[in-house]
Amino acid sequence: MTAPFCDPPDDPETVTQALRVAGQAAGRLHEQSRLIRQVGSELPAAWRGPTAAVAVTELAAVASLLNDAAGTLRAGSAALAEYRAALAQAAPVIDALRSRYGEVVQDRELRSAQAVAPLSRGAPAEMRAARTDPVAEQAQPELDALTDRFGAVTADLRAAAHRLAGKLAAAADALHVAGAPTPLGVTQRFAGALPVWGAPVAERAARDAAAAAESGLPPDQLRQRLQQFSGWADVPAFGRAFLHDVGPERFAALLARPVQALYGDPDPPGLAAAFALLGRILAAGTRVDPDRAWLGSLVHTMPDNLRIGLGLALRHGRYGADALEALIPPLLAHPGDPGIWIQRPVGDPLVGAMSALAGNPVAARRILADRDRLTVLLHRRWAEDGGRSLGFALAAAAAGDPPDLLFEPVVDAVGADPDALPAGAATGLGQFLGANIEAVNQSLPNDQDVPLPHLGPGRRLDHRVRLARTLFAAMHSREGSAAIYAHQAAYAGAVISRGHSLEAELDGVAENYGRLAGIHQRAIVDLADRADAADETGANADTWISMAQFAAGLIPVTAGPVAGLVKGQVIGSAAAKLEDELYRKPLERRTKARHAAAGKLIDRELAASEQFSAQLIERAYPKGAPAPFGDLTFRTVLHQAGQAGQNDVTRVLLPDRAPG
Amino acid sequence: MSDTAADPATVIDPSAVHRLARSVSRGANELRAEESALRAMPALSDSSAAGPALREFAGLCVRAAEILAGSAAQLATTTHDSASLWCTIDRAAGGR
Repeated sequence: MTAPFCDPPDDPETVTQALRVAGQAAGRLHEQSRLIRQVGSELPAAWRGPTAAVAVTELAAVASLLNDAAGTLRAGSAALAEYRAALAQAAPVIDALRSRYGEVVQDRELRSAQAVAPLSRGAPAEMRAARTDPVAEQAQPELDALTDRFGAVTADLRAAAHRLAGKLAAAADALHVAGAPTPLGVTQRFAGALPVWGAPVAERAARDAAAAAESGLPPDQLRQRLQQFSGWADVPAFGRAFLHDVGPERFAALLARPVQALYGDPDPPGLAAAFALLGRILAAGTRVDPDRAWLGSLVHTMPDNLRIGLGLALRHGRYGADALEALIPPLLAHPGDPGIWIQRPVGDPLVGAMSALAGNPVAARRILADRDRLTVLLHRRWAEDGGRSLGFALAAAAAGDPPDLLFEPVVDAVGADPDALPAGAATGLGQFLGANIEAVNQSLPNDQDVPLPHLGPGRRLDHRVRLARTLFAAMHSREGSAAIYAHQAAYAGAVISRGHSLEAELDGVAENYGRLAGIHQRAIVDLADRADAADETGANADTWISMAQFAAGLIPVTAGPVAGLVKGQVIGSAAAKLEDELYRKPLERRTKARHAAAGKLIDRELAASEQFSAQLIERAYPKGAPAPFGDLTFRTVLHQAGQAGQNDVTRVLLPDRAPG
Repeated sequence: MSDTAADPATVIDPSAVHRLARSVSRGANELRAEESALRAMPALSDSSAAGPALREFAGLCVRAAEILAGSAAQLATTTHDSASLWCTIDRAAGGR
């Protein structure tokens, strides 16, 4: 009988070969790294000049990568060696188990045969089995023990193989950039590290992509072909070369032509990916020191489809400030364009422009600092996103230094007409005001009576009143309110942690909490007056408060470092108070009122229905006239009619109107 | 070391740069040999937990070696071209 103990799946010799190759390669790469470092160190003495400087840089990068690769290979080789040791250890053990198993089985069979032999051939099977059992029983414990031992050896080997897999995966991770371990990822990593070599590789890929763009393929095929270069889209050398090779006119056509499909379908398959790719390429190729003449040619004339296509592309990629300064003003020259799809507006170019600004504080500050432009943006129709992108562009503009560069223009523009603020912009505006919390604290109205947000015409709007109205507009958004409170808490924490704060200063901060709360309360009431039940259900207090707490952990405080404990205490108590006073109680009050109103409505509807059905019966079966039914109430009439086989309700209730 | 007439800011020892170019070039060739060895790295059994990991690891090693070899070759060419160019300039300057 053959022992059921098979050999491990991996051949120790194969593992040995693999570890030898990896080890040798590691040694050679290390030696190469050393030599190249030596060459690099000798170079400056032999050759000084701009070309030499590039060569020295490149030599250092190659040497460093060689060393990294050597380390990775060495780690892989060491892991393979461990696995080989485990295999080597297991092999004789498995052989011994197999051999012992064979002996035991052979011995058992022999003894069984001897035991069974004296019985006649005609003896019943049960008797022969009964004679065999004692022998089998004697051997079984040892066979079980051998099987168990084999199981343990196999488990050890499996664990060793898993350990090896883990170590190899970790080593492989060191060789590729984040994401899938693709050759492209490795290429990009090296392309980024090796300027002399990397740029030509990226440029070659860009030439291929540009040739594909010029190939006259049908739109779908062209999109698929270009997607093959998606991995390169964020590499500046690729972007620059692609934009240069394709040229501004052709790139404009690439942006404009697919837009046509949007007129028939707001979300045609593959189009979003195509604009994402073009946007990333445009961003990467113009991020640093962009070719201004190229950008100028791209936006020289702006037909509708190009504006829409450019806007869609601007929603993707990380743009440089100079590129945005060249691309966005021509889009802003048509501020009234809300999109191309009436029922479901898509492709508003300014949503793209604001999305790009939201990712670049420098450009946001430069472009939004113009008061006229800001006023136009705040008053235009944002049919596609309700102004969310505008809000986030404002928030980005507050991220620079000094943060209050746009504070006055924004407060002046929004405060003049808070009702005109697009609803979606409130969140971003809240973040903007939060980032300017010091300026907010210095400018909040200092009288006890927080000014009403809706002021009559003719009343003078000073800066403080405009600020209150701006806060009122921002606090229509839960996230916007959370951002303001979180910054206020951090600001208060900073004032406290300074340690030598004047009492008046602390009092001022505390009073400002009250002022913010007062404005917020008005915003909540205003919002509740406009909101329907679904909106209120969505307004989850826990989410709101946790957002405030989360935001507090992320806020840089200009006034000085904030002790975590103090900040936590401040935000914790503030959040609890706010939740109770400003959210839960008003909401509960409103919910009770709504339930009462709904109850009254139901009662009224019920009464009206009963009155109507009674009128129907009275009309069909007037008092005094002979009636076919004994009890003339609505329900009993229908019930009795049904029992009498009259199932046509119209004929029963409206006998004079029933057909036939 | 000799100053070149073409660009006073550039100082070059052509023979030294040639030696460097040869050294980098030799390194590139050795790396190519390494790449071939890595390409032949045996893979473990499919039924082993470590088999796929070893294949992926080997593939990435090969790719990395390819790229490094390409880079070193490019560098060797650049260095060699520059050295040749400056040699020519140097000779022209010396001949004047």
